[in-house]
Amino acid sequence: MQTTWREDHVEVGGRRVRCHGAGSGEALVQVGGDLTPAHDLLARGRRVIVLDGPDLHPPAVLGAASALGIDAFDLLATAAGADIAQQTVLTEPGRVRALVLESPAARPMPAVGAPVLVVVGTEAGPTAAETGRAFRRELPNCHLVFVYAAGPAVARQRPEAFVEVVSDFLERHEQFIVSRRDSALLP
Amino acid sequence: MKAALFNIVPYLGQAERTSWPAPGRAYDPEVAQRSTELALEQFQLADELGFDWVTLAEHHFAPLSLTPNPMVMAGAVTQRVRRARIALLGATIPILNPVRVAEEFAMLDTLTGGRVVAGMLRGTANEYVTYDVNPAESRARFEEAMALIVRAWTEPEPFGWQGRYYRFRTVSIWPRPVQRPHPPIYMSGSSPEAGEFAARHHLSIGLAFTTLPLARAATEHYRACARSHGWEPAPDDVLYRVTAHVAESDDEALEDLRGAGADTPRRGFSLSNRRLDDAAAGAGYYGRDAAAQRGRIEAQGRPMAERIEAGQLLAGGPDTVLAQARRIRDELGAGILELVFQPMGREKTLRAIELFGRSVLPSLSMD
Repeated sequence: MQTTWREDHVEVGGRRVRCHGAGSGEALVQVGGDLTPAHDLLARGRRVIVLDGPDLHPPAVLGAASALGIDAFDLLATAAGADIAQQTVLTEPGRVRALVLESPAARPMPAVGAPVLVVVGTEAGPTAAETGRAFRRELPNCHLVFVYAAGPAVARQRPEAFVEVVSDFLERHEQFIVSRRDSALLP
Repeated sequence: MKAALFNIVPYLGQAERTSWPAPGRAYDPEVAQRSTELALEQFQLADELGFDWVTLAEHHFAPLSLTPNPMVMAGAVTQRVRRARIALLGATIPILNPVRVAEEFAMLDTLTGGRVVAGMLRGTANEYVTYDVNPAESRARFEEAMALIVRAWTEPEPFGWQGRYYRFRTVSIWPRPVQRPHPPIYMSGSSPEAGEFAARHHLSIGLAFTTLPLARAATEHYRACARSHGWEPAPDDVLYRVTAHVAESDDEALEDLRGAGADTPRRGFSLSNRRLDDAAAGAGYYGRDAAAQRGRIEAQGRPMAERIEAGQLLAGGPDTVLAQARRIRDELGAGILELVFQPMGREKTLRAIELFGRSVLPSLSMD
């Protein structure tokens, strides 16, 4: 099934923020970054908005979401985008349901109380793993998941693995550790 | 050179040995208890004699071995072996739950104060039937399982694992290994793929059910790959497993072996069900040099004199066996000689272990 992405612009505080959108349902907003096969998969079950721009900051993220008619949303960020994403949560905690950070390259902000999922590739190197651990240790409500055989670009390299864990987490938050897999083989 | 005593814990009674799986109809629990106790007795003796390691393995559904879970046996061995390392060569990780394997190794490392050697193997082709795992997935499952086990041992924070074959939402094992960062890992180095993987991940290799020429080719490949990854394996990174018998004289040793039926052709464990092995081979179990790997296993069936010449059997008085052991060390650069003493009744086997320990091991240890 082909996912159709619509390119759009929204006005926030007199500035244009470019965005790509696809899908319908609960909103997942990504701060910067490229479209990957994982985004196509994510857009099958939710409304995905990827914000683009050289100087995204928390008011721009929150304003863009409002301009698109989105009140509460899940937030996804990669690498250094983890910094803006955490600040966005801290700016209006009530609007961000959960936060997903792919290979974060930022310091954890312990005041972030929202459910957080940190995804790190097993081939991303010791610094990426250590940063993931720091988030797990310092945020009150954080889960760390290693994606096997992926480097820093987890969503690009292992899209199915990335989407499976992210979707489950966004749907169930910390309860995602309880398996719902049906293991019955035969009636 | 270090010495290891390997005991597969064979069932020492009458049983169907030419098919796999072997039927349990003639199974006698008393024989099994005696067989297990004899193995424990040998391990304890080896420890007292100064053997560096004692070694267990995992095999299923046959009288060949009574340790389908070597972790359980190793738990008993920890109470008898107070000094030597306890090696499991290995856990057949592609058919097991890797988190459970990590926990069990960590328990054993705790029980022994850090004397566990963690062998991780693919096992023989028939093992995949045991727990209904597709042998075509063996190597990929092996590589992922090992990565997960090492992660479980070393990761200080609870973590989830999103693999290809394994998925766990949260892992944080207790107890954790005593050895840091983790127990030494050995894997089979017989196939080229295995040697390359071991070299890439700085792992040690073991060579079993092979011949000196095949082992030399495998070792050279492993060392060359290691060099290309910027490291040089130490002698202890290469283990060679060989059947052995030691008596007072060469003549006596050979006579003992003939009496124990060691000169009659044997079939490898996995080849005792040829159709099953063919099916596994067809699924791609053996990798890119399948013919050589299957030939390596079939080479176990040769006559005694040829097996001695090919480095598959150490046999003789202490001086002869010392020379045979040194030949393996010199030809392979192997630092660990793992001995499978030919079963031939309790007294003779214990005597062979004792002769090796008192008359061969001291010289070998000085080398």
